[in-house]
Amino acid sequence: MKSSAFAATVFVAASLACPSLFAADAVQGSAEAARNKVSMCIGCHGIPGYKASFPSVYSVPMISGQSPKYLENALMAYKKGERSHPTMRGIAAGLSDQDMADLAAYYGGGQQSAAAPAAAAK
Amino acid sequence: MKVTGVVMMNFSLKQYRRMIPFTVAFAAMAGSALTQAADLNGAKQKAEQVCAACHGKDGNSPVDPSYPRLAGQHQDYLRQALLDYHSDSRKNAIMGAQAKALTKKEIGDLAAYYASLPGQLVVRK
Repeated sequence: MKSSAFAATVFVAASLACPSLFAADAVQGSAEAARNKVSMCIGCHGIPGYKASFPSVYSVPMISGQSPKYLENALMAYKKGERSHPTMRGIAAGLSDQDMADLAAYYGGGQQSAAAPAAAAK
Repeated sequence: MKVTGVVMMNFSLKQYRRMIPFTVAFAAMAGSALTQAADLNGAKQKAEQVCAACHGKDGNSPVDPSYPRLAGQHQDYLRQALLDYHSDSRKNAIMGAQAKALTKKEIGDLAAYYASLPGQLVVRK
């Protein structure tokens, strides 16, 4: 009894001391929560045939149907500067980890939302 | 004077002369279409030898959820993505190495090939 209470205390203390250890996989995306956040996305990704015009002209990618994991990584890569598109870097810079997870769940929904966690678990 | 074609249409020589530019243009178009088809075949081979290992044989079944679906994606976006990997303006250890091994021509062909495949990517409004 005492030892389990001790273990729980240690766990809580450790979580408080280094939240990133436990938070890494703790961000759960919610497609529902993303409904208030997609206004920044639909102006480009919601228009069939839309092309980005700066710095060069090409079609913005279709993002719906990719896996949530890919989408989350893409947003993170923009935020970290690993992807260079200026507009997307500006948008991603203002997104929290939770925002990214929510948007990834929204656009990566459908068949993927069920398949992705199982695949990620292996 | 009349010239009778194999499809039993009667045109004067003057009419035939007028058709020459169109005939030449059509032949050129048909020729370039054939060239493009050949490139798609080359791209298909490369895709199945290299890209398929991660993105799946159909470009629509990546082996890990962190890898994107390519099938049916916009051709010019796919081309841009490979060019960005090629120039390091998009940074990824795996794709950087893959894209640097490709010529600009091969990049264009692969983009055309994957864009031509049926996929599940859509524009969500």
